[in-house]
Amino acid sequence: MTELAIKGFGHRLFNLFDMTWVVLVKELRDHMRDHRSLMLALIYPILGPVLVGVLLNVTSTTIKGKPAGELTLAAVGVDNTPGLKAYFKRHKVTLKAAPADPEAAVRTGAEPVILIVPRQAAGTGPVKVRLLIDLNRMANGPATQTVMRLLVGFSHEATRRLLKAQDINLSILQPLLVEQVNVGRKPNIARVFYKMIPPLIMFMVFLGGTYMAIDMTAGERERGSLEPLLSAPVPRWQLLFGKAIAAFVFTAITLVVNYAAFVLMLHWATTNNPSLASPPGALTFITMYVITLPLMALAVTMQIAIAAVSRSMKEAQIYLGLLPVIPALPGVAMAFSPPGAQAWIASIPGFSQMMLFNELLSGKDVQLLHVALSYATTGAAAFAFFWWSTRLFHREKTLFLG
Amino acid sequence: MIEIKDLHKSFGKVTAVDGLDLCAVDGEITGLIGPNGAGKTTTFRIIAGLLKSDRGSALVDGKDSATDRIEAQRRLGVLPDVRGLYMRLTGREHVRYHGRLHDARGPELEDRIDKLIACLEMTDFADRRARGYSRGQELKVALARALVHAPHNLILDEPTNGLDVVSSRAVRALLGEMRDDGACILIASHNLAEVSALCDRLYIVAHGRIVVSGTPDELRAHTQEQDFEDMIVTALAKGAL
Repeated sequence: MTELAIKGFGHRLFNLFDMTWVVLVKELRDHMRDHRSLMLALIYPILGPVLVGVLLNVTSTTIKGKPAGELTLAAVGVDNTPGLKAYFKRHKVTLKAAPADPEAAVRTGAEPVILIVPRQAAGTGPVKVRLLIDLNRMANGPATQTVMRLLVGFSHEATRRLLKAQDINLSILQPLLVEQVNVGRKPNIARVFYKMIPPLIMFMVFLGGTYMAIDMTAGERERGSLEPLLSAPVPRWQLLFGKAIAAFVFTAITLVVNYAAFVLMLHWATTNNPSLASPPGALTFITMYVITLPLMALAVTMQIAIAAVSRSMKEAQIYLGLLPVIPALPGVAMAFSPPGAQAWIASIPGFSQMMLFNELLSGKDVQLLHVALSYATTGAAAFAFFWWSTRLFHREKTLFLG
Repeated sequence: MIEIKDLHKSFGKVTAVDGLDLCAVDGEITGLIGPNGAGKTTTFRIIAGLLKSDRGSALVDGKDSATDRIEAQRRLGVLPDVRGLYMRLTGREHVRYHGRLHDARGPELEDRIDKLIACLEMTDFADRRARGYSRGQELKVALARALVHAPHNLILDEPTNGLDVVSSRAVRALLGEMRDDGACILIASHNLAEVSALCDRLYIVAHGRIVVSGTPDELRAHTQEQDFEDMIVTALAKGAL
């Protein structure tokens, strides 16, 4: 008796999702043949990681510059201070004559920095050297810093030598010594770029299934295929569930491509550059993917509901084009000014995922309670939007009038 | 059998159907004829369970299409006025999709699809994607889609519109066979030659209500017109009075 009851329940359950499966297979077949859906799923998610990877690579290469030992410095009047000339030589800086128009040479980028030493009689006060630099050229930073460091070093060395000659203790000139102690992680330019990952992921979550969601709702109505579809003896929630799962599958594929591209691009950008902080590993991204799953469901059900209430495919495209910006913008704010892990933030769909991403990317463990809250509230929101969508598919206005 | 009783439907201030009564019996082809905006498409959509009437009922084999929608739809094949194909699916895939939505599976479904493809002369394009189909080819796919689950009742909006002469004749022959097998077929058409050749019973509709009904012979007697087109025009004029 019990066995029969279980079989009966299983049969009913199978029937319940049988039509969902039929719709799902059709939608996947249909959209796998559509270059717009495939572009969104396979090409778009690569763009963000490529941008971050290339920017990180270029920036780190630029900032790193050439080692001080290889610096060639254009200078005017350095022969006026033989001591400084000898100091540069000792620190492996090659000196060369500056161009005729030193300012133009720096402004055009021909020289990263030019040193000008005025002619000045000995014993007439401190020698006021000028350093021509262009603050707008980030690539000149390392050379400028090296020259500045050497000039300050030479100045200190000369001071020490003079004080020693007068038999004065150097410490009386430095009554206060400051030591900075950084209790956080060592600052690293790479981490600034890693903060860009969560908003870009949020953007892709709300973009991946967009075209499918439009085509399966407003598109069906516009091409007239909704009428024969709804004439089939299938509960509307089952039809819609099949469509929602199809859009979810595309979004999930989009995010797999997105996460994989991040892993590969960050690996590429940081390889051979040990000064950069290590990028998040594959395990971090897998955890982030798992955290993203209910948000994908919410994105898909929101897209379907919005496309269903839109009067045309064009109108739906406008609304859904703006949709990814809504969670991405607060995401940017949270990435650069993280509020810390708190239960109330973990209860807000979108914010909770951002919070958990930030925790993971800063190398912390996420709390299971926060993950559970994120799943529960985001899942509930996805269910609410799905329920609303099914109500919309019972409205005559949704079906025929737009 | 399709029974419509005192059907009313309005869209805002526009009355589309205004107390329409109709009975399409098994083993007959029933024609619903009227000018544009007479309420034919709205009536079909109510029968198909896509719209809800404001008053009255539409029954398919006794199943109310509003309160028992799924059961009514199981017994019904629908050819809407807009064919609505998916451009990236082949004709065969369209027919198979709708067969599956009607719970048909396996070799039985595939046999049925093959027969419909042969019968509707779709062999040349059935395995080609729908993008680029002619209107006639689209109609054939939509018709096969409506027939794939071998429904006992059919509602067909302009079933030969866009077909060439040979294909039109093939469709008429197919509908004739289905009628002889006991199916209930309700068609709406502006093609009076088709209506005169096919229909056993006619309902002339204007302003959302039936103005006159009967067999073609009864209508000829009623209007005292021998020419079919004159008969319809006279019936509509009388109804308008």
